[in-house]
Amino acid sequence: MPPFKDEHVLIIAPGSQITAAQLGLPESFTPPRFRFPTRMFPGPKPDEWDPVRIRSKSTLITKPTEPTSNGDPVTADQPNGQQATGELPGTEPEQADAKPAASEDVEMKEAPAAEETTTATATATATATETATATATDTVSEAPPTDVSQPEPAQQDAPQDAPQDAEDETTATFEDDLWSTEGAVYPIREGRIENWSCFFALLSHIYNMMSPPFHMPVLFVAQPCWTSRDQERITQFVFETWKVPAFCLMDAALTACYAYGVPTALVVDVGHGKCDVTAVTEFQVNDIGRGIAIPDCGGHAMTKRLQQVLEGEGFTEEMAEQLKRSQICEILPAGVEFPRGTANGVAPNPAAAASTGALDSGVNAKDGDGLRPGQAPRGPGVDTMVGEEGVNGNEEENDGVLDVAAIVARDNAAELLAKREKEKAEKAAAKKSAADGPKALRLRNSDKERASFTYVELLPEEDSDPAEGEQKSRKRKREIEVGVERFMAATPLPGVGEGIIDTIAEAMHHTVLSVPDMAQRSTLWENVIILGNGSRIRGFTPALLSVLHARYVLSPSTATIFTSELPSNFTTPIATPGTNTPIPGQGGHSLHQPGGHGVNPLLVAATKNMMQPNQHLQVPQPGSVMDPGMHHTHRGFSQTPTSIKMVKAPDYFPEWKDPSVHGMEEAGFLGAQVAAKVVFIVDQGNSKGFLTRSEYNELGPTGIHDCSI
Amino acid sequence: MATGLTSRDEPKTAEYAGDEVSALVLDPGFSSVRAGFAGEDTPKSIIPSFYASTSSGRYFGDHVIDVSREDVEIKNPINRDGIVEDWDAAEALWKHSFAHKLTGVRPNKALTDWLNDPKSVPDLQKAMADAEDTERCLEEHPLFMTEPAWNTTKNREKCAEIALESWAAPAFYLGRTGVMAAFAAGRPTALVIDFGATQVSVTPVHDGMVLKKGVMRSNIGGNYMSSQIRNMLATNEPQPIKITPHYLVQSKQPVDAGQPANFVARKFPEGFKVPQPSFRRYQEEKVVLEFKEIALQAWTNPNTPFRGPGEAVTREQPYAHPFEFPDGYNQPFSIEGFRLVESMFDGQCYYPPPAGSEEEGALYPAPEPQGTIPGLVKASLGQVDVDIRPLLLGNVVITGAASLIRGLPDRIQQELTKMYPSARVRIQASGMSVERKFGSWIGGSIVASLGTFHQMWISKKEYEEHGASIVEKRCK
Repeated sequence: MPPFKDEHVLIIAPGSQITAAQLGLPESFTPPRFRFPTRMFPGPKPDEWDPVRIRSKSTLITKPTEPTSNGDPVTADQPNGQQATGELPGTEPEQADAKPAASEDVEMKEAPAAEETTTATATATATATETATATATDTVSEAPPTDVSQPEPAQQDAPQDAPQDAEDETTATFEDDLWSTEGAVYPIREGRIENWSCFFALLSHIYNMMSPPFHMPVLFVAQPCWTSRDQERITQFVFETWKVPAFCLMDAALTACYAYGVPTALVVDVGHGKCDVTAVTEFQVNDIGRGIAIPDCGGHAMTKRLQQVLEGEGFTEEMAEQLKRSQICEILPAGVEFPRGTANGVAPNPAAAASTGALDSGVNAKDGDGLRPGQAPRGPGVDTMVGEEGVNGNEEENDGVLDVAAIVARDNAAELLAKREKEKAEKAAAKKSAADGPKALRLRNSDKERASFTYVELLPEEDSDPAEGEQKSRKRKREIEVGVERFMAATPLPGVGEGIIDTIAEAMHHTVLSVPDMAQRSTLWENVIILGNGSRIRGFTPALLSVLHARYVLSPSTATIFTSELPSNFTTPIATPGTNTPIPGQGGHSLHQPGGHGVNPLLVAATKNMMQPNQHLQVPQPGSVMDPGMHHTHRGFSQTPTSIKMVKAPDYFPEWKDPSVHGMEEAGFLGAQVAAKVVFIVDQGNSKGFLTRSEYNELGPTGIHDCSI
Repeated sequence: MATGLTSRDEPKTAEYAGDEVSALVLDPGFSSVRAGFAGEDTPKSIIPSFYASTSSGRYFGDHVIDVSREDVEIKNPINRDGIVEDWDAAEALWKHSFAHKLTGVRPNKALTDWLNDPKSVPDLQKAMADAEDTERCLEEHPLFMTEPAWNTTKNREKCAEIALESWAAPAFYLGRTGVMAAFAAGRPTALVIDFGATQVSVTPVHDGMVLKKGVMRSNIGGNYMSSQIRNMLATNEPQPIKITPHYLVQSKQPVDAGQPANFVARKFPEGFKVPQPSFRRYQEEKVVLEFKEIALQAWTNPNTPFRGPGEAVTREQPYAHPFEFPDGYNQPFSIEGFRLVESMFDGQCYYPPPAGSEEEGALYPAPEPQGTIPGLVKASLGQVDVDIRPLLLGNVVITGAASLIRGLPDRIQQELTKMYPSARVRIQASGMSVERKFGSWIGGSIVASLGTFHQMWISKKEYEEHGASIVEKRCK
């Protein structure tokens, strides 16, 4: 087998919301070049899927038989739609479910869909799509019947296999609806693949977008909750459909370790619907006690919570989502009170109520993303989909207002929207502060009782003017002011005694305690990696660390007792390069352990390193003389954690420092690139890091379980 | 988008030539359930045997059951003898253990899609078949299960019924944990001392067969040790220690050793029904487990007995292990760590239950002389042929997670050497904690992947022909 080339490596990292993909390893590893939304739209037939929602409308061009049309295509639409609706009342529920009405619109399979999609995703300019959608006035999310039932008249008139005939009378136009996510099927939920046909269709779509070469090794970032069976199915799909020469399936927690370049780390991956907590020791994932897909611990849970507390103010889920992404939403560290003047009728936050005040206000000069206020992140960068350059350009011209919905419909919604939202908030804040004078500028978000964010609403199409050709934005901006509820994203959901930060902290503690090798535990606590887009919410990491410090870190007095009466046979501390060195800038100044001063670091190191792994389990050979003092069996086992530290992000990847990336939340993808380089290029399969085609033919899909580097 | 038809289709199964189907090995215990494919070196799926039960249903698996839900209760389908009591829960728990990490859950269309919308059911016949299919979760994998040597006939047949009927496994076998642990250590003949959660058992295994008469057990396992630790803490000087589990601590302040804890208790939201006592107990048990890891140590000086001189020595500082409780209370433990372990060897070192909780303490009484570890070995060897005793003593296998106490293998070596001075006593205890914890699973993994084992399986057909009684005949 010829060696693999950098530019031929395909990396795919599926997630519940976004599936990141990239073909080729650049010189310096970049954020994922493509982000596809992990969703597909049901096609005309069961188990057929389209990447973009396709609407159809029939326009009468010549009108030999239809009496209702008056030549104006747009006005013709409405009666047509109503008529159809009237005829088929029974079909409504199905359509509302956006299930493919399989029998009715068979002709859609001829779908212009293919070309349409290509144009839209690959070449269409923003203006073109904008026009298309603005003119398409008939599809309204509340009234789906028009959309699905419209092929009906056409079908009545024409036989199924001759759609051209039908075109003589009515033209069924198929259009992409880039905005709408209505009827979308998300094949991955909480990390689990729930709809295989949809998932494979998505993979095919990604593959086709990439148009990769034949000699292409593939690396998948595997969700921890995928079962062995799932892994086999994916392996089978990749080998048999794409005919690849080599395939590697790598656990998401491992890629995080590769990204940060540490062999032992406690990886907390906060996703959309779940959170994974993994202890990785020496590049080995610990299966025992691993927190796999802990439900209700992701970004979605926080959105739900925000919506709940703001229900009284009429918040929809979309509003809560945008609030969560805005700058004003923040999770305050444990012990920080909400700003004064709490509005009446707001449930008091138990965490704040019970706070000890041990930590002084934990707000940093920098916000959660490491950006200083006023340093607005740049707009979308290189990390967008093919053919979007025009769109982006357009956006810039339009002062970043116009196209949020287009971004939502496109693939990196989470990313772009967050950025955009920030940009707006910054602008709004800048304007406001300019008006309010310097006094307001000084107040930090966490000191303000109320703050407002800009909510960008996607109007349903019925509201827009039906006039042909007019470009009309479907978005409406509005300022919404919220009170201290914006700090409550991590408070407990009803029926659960703890919020998501508490749950994650507890899972971390439990995961570390489950690691069989006790000597590794303190190393794990000193190498914490928090990533995943769910952790993007402002203040997430500091809040999590503060809870860990307040609840789990051992008080130094324990170490003092221990070390003040050192046994004479105390082993010499072993140097651990780096792990004991405090990392500046991590965790923030407000998070240090309350009583952490004054403990001799050497002694602390001694408590951690005096034991060789599992030494106590060694069995002496029979007849060996026991040391009467039993000194050889007396080894210090110490509790953990004595300190908690984050791993410093690697600083040798300039692309990841670009403000448009802001943060290492997607570091898993960086790690996937590092791993791909190691597995495919450097190692070349010597350590059996991947499954080759010939091995697959011999072993079948189960062969994937034998591959790990 | 030039999508070929192939990429939209699910791949066909038969392109590779392989027909190897690996068996699933399931090793259920009181503390955890281990599951994985035969031939692998460690189980890939390990979940606690405890599950959370609320008004809205059961929750299985690590972390999920640690969430303090409203009115949650923690249960275990296995009783204090290590025998299944609640079959319904056990079946669900075991199924979860392999379905969620190994074989996958088959989506139940009937439940997810059609329950609320009967009109959309395409074909009732097919739907019903599908719904049933969901239950048949093991159709592709033979199932190898382990059981304690003292399992009842009725329970063994029930296991076969679940595996072959409910889960539709193509073949089934039940192996004894003792034998499996011997295989894991690579000894067909061995005296297996298994330190489980509920029981410490001594099983003589000769040529891969259990010598049933010689199986001895006593409830001085991990749960006994937990109970002892609780007794010890409750009678601790200068003040009794009450365990406050992590979930009840909002934040703590550092205090000096022996000083009262200074912590802020968690407040639950108003109207929140606090978890039931069993939840708290389960969480406390985690603290106790951590304590075991830190403080327990076996007395391994052969020249001085622990009681008396040993106690005097271990009072000294070098033996102290500081331990901090979740509420911040901390103190060093020295003699306690030794005495707790010693009580498995010597009933007089037993910590009696504190006043007021004698009833609970009565569940774990001080071991009788024949219930201690030396007593069990003696009784067991007394039941086997004199000729094979030296063979067994030369292959003493120590397994089970509760054996992971510092110095315990040394101590057992000393005890046995003292009891049988003429025999050559050799202890086999893996230095890898994983191998000790999952000894019987690993043995099962080895056995089930042996080519020669194929004839041992009880196939579904045989089961249908002979009925459940075949288990008793085949799995000896």
